[in-house]
Amino acid sequence: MMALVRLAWRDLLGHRRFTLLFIINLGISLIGFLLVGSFGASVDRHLSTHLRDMLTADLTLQSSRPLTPEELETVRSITDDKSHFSRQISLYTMIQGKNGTRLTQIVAVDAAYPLYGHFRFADQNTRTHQAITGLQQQHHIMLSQETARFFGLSPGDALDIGQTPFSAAVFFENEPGGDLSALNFAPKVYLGLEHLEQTGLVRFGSRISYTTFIRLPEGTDSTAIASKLSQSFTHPTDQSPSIRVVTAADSNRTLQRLFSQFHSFLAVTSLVALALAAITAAHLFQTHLDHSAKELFILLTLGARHSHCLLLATGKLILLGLIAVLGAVMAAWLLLPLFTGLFTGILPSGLTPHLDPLTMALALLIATCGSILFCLPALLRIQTIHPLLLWREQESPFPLPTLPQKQTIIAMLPGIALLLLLTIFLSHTPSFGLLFVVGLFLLVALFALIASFFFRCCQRWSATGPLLARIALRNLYRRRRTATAVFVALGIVLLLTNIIPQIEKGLAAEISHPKGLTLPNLFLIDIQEEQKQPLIHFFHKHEGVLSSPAPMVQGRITRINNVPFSLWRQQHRLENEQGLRRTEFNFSSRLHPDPSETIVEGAPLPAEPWQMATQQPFAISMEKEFSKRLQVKRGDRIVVDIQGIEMEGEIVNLRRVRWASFQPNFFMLLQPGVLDDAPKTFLASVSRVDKTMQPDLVKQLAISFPNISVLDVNGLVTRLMHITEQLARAVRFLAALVMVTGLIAVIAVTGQDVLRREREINLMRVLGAGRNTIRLLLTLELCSLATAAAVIAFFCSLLCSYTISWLLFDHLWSVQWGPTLLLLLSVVALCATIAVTAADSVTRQRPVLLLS
Amino acid sequence: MNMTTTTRFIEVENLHKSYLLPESGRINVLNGVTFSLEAGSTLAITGHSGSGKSTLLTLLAGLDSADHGRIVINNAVLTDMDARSLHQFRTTHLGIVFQQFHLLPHLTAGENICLPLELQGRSCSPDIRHSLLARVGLTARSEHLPGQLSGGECQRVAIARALAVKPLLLLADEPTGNLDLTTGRDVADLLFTLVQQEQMTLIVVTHNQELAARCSRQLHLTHGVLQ
Repeated sequence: MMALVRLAWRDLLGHRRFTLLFIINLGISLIGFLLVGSFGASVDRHLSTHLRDMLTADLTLQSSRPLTPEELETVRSITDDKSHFSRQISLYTMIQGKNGTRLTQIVAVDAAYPLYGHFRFADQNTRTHQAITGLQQQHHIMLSQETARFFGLSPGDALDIGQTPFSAAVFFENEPGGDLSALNFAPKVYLGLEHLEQTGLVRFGSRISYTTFIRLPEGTDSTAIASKLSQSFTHPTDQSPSIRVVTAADSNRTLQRLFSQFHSFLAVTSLVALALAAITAAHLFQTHLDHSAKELFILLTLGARHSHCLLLATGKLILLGLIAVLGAVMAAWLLLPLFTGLFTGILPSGLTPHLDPLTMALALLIATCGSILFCLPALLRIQTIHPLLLWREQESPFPLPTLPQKQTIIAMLPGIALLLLLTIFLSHTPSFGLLFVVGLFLLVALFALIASFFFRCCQRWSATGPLLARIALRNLYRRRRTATAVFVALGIVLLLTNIIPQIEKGLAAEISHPKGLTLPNLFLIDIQEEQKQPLIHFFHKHEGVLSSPAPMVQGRITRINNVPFSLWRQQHRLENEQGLRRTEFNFSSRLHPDPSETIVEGAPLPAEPWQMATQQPFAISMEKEFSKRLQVKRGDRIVVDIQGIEMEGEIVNLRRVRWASFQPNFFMLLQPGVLDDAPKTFLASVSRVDKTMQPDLVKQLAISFPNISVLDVNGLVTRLMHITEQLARAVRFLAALVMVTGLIAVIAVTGQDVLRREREINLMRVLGAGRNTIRLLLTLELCSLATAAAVIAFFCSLLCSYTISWLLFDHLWSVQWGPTLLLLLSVVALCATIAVTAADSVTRQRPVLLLS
Repeated sequence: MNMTTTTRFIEVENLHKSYLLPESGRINVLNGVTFSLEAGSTLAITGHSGSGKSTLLTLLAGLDSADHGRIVINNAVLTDMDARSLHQFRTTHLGIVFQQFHLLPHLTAGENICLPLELQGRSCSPDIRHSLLARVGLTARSEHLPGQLSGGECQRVAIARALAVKPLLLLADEPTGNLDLTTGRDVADLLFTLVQQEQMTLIVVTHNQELAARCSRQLHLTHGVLQ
């Protein structure tokens, strides 16, 4: 055994090029795997352990009205006597500071807030309890340093909230639950609960959220309590809770669902690198086995069994895997903080990334057992060798028998199964894993097919043209097996690498400059009916174009096709579907579709107002994606409850909405007439405002219409673009690993191929070809191959990016030629360098020596 | 292991071997080869290229199976043995020396010599290694890789490696074929000296008439038939 280990070690040292390439190839792909796996595990762990701190309670009760004394009594009877409670009321309003005016979330809290977690203050001596108590006792406010800077506030400065001035008492750096606030529309200003009434902001039409936080005694089953509370708040008619009960676990699920979608994309990118590395490893090992076959023949004649040879080969793979995983773990350890740093501002601030032990164990398994599985087709060839061939040699490398095609395919299956399991592990979704593996192999098959066609064309083209080009084209056809490997590797790498800028730029272009639409500067919320005309007049006098105000009425869906909504959700398994856990929805109505929406199915809504007396259902226009989630179609009937009046409508059309247009859009538009008598507020957008004039306009708006919330669309777009860029940077980081893995594949395959052609190349030199001619020949071969693969990959990437945009990103897509051409030129240049280096490795020796 | 009682160390009876070639059809390589050999004697098998010399050697080494006929070595019937028994017999009774030396390039001379013992799970102490190297006159070259040795030295290492398992029969395929005249003579001297010292039986396949003449017996193969 020791002799075999020694032999394996010496053999690896003797074949340094193979050893180095194998380790780098496997190591780099494992770095990606370790980074993505550990990053995901770190986030999961952080969310699980800090969830109560982020929610600031074990469970919360959320409603749009205060709890009645009876409901409060019910809560107290269901929860333990030792439970603690905290109340919070929040609403949005415009706040005018010295430096500017902006939409702000006013959060009024009682002295018990927060039940878990704490604020981190700029002044390190301030404690959370002390600060919150101060808010109750005086007209003090607490806000973040960034918000204070925006309003131009220093400690002690006054700020008007509604009708009352408050003193800026404390500035915090971080608030409990504020970790995932990158996408919040407005900053928070905290004040004492008792002082909210004096602001005058709590009035009809205000959008107010009431939250009761509950801290249960340690060891209490919060899910069971939440279930009891939900049942007690259930509406008697449609069995939907009128008060939403949220546990820490619910929040965790929501956060993890958001995170897992992005994590899956990262996982796919890292797995492409791993799949490429697996293909390269199999190729490298197969070639290595061909080169070292003679040693196996010798061993067999010296008394070794086939099992010894197999042990020797697997031992080499295990040794290589161990070194690769060791290097990868060290590199991942160094890179993980940098990788996590790419998400600063998006992820919880206290997140400390750690290398995940399970991911490390899996990486070890991939590097050792995985290598064996990926190289199984090559390993099985060892079983077929016979020492007798040692007498029939005189041919180098030794002819290692090939397996029948059927056996080779069967031998590849365990490796494919491993890849599938890894995808499922990283993406947490079996269907996604299957889709990825099948997709990847279809892609490999597609590129192999195109390569085969390309090589046939090369054969045809090689009949004419300059001699060197003819030789290069003929060589590509002659060595089409090796060339196919290069073509496939380059194709997949370039396909993946080019998808990223296409989606990213398309998304960015649609967010910042939506095609065919004018992006508004401001978005106005909570416009009262009587403010419509004054607002129109206001914009006649001031800069900016006001869109037609869209009414918004809150109502509930009670039945779909005569099935109670709660039962419909159960039957169609929609209980946990995002946005469908509530029964309240916002309805609107308009005669003509907005430019940001298009009817894709059915006729427009009738122009004539609906009459309740006709007993006919009114017409509903539904957003297409929402109809898919709700599992309804054109012709289905929906009963809505608006202000206690139930009315039945029928879906007459489905609309596609470009949500990134930031126009007032709704999931459901009802026929004119339906909402006429309902109390409503209006939404509108304002466009064509000069950026320099915008702060002044917002200030004037806040003075003239203090109840209207004004959302800064430009600021929101900037934040969205920043987040998109951050996410894209992380994907690009992994794509770079894929690129490196792909180039290693090209270097490995080309290098081995050139070594195999050593005699042929040197024969050309003996016949008069100079070193530059050989360089040119190999460059022509590799660059024409790379160009062909790149062109095909780019077309495929455009198709894939369009499909992804169509499926996931609301059709946000545009072709980006700049990055595409840059990538093409870079790859061709890199391939030329690889070809020249490979040529030099052979031509450095004296040709006569090689021919002797 | 199948055993039989015979007075000869090697007995080959009516040995036939043919190969099926895709283009030429079946080719008979050995046509009823019969001979016997006493223990401790030396035999040279000569013949032109393609006469069947190497095929005969591979059959005697138990690396290939005959179509027909019988091979008995030291009372063991090779032709009746299964693959496992043949492997066992080969590793314990036979030593093989090749024309191309066939040393493992990444192992030192000493390690190459010890390899057959270690593959059998037997220990190869520094004393054994030193003793084997001393017998081929290469004690100073123990830590050298094959690439650092001359052709003659490589063949000496190959001979020492063949001797490591203390074989009863040494098979040598053109042992001087890759060496110049002087080195070839030196290697042949060493080979015959060691065979005599160890009282081994030697069968050598060669084109070299001088080497063949040093054997106690010569057989000439023509088209698979002994002359």
